[in-house]
Amino acid sequence: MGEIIAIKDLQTCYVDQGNPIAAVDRVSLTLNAGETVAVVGESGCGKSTLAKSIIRLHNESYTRITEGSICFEGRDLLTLTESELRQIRGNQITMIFQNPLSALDPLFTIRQQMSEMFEFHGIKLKPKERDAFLTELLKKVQISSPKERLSAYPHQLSGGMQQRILIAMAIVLKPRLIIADEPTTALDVTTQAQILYLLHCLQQELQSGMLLITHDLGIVSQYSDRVCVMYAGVVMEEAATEKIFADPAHPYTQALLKVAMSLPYSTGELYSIPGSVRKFRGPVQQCRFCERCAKALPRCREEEPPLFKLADGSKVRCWLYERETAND
Amino acid sequence: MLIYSLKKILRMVCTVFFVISVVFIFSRLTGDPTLYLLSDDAPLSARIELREQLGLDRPIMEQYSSYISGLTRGDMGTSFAFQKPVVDLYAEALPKTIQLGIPALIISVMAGVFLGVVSAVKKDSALDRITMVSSVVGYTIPQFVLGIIMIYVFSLKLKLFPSGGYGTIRHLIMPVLVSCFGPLAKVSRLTRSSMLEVINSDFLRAIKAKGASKHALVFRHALRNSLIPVLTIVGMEVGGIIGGSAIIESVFAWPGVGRLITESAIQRDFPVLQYGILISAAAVTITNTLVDLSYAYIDPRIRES
Repeated sequence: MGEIIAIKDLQTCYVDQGNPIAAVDRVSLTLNAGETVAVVGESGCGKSTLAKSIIRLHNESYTRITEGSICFEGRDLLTLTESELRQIRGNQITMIFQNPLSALDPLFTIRQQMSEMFEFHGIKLKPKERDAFLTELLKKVQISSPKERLSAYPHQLSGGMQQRILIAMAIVLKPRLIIADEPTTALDVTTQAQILYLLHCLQQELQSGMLLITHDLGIVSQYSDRVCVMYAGVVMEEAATEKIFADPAHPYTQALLKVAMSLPYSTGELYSIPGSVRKFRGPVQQCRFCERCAKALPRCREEEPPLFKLADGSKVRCWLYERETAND
Repeated sequence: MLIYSLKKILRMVCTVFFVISVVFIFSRLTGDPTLYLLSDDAPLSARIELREQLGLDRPIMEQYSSYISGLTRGDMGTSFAFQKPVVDLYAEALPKTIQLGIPALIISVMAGVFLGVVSAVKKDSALDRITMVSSVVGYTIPQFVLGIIMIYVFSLKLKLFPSGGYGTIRHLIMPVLVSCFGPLAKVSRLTRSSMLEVINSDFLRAIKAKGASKHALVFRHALRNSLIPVLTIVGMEVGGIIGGSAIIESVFAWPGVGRLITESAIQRDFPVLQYGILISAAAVTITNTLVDLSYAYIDPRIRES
């Protein structure tokens, strides 16, 4: 057990003309070995940008990391050169993407693409050894007739199988941290469950940390230890998973849960949070959620609340909790 | 696969057949070849005699059917002007055209792909800007203008290269440069835009996440995925080589296929014209088919469908 990664005050901005828009605004997050932290929020709240920023995979033509530090194994990832970071990507930190088909190169066989993991990280294997190793690995991610699949091209496999391949690639070098960016959004519901269970088991086996980006609270409740709720680029609430579901503190978290609960059992109208996520340009002087919040106070429109730390160790960014703040 | 190939071949034959039929009929509508073959003051009786001798007095459909039956027997015709089999004329001209076309093709493809890749990877750099501006020039400037400018600068002023003709390497340089300029512009522009599309795609990010080196990222994955549109253009250029460039060969007095075709068209030397069109149409359709097949080589998804 121990801390794997500590993200501190990370800020990633969209830079176009005018003031930059902070897609991720001073987010801090730590992750321990064997732990799964879920990052949830609506589309456009910055969770995917956060995930990509960790290994600098954000689109550098219009986004920049402007502030913060990411401490990983004693080094700050933000100060590493591209080639130093390259050795960490795919090796110590791996990423699983939303759409498996667009994460595989259509022109290369599965064998070629999986072998690249060894090639890129300087591991030399004889073709026979390598094939035996890869076959074992595919068995591990429950792919039927693994030997034949090695010679297949991505389009010949189903979405679920493609995602299994990507998971296999993500674990082959035994990473310390797995970033799963909505790993099952592109899959059908039955496959989703299998894939997540598989991912969970492999992560437990390796005792890696996992950052699970999702908007599906069902997934969160089953597989995560801690939840970080993001809204408009900032962390709104961070707490243990049981706490989030039993006693959500932030009105935004409460609203998200209300939406999630109304979905599967709904007979009449579905509940939805009115309005949509706003983008904030420049300094923010209000609670980012206040326009959509049922419990908004006058103060919420004048001053952005800090992240209050509560007695049970959870954190919440809401003026309603100012008095409950733990002294530290 | 057999039926597929047969279909392809049948389609190629039909295309070529259609092209030569059009050329046969329309060239004959342009006028009387004896106006060029005999002097202006030749008596009418001589003209009529020559026309009979060349078979031009017969109805056009009759001429057409005897031309086609000649083709099936391997008789490609005899030049009106040179009184030689057209095959011999082209046997002499074709190697010269290829000598011009192959270096131009190699230069334009290699340099074009290279410049396209570099300007996509280093987007908005000075090299990218220069490449893109000069590719606009390459696209728009007509070959004869470029050719004449080069003759003026390098032959008349600097006296570096001969202004035209066939013979040494020095004769080759200017026509090759002029003929690779346009294709180079096309190839580099297309490679760049195709590469940019791939570079910004999710899938390249996924490969980057595996820890790929810049080299593997750009050349193995991005380039190969952006090659198909480039291949189409290259295929068209290859097909065009055999036909030769009528303009370049005329400007530089290069005795190749292009010039043979233009001159035969001007002089109404129909058999020469027809054979020239026949071989260049055949070259274009054959390379197009080869390009189609090479798509399947590059992309496994096409291989299956």
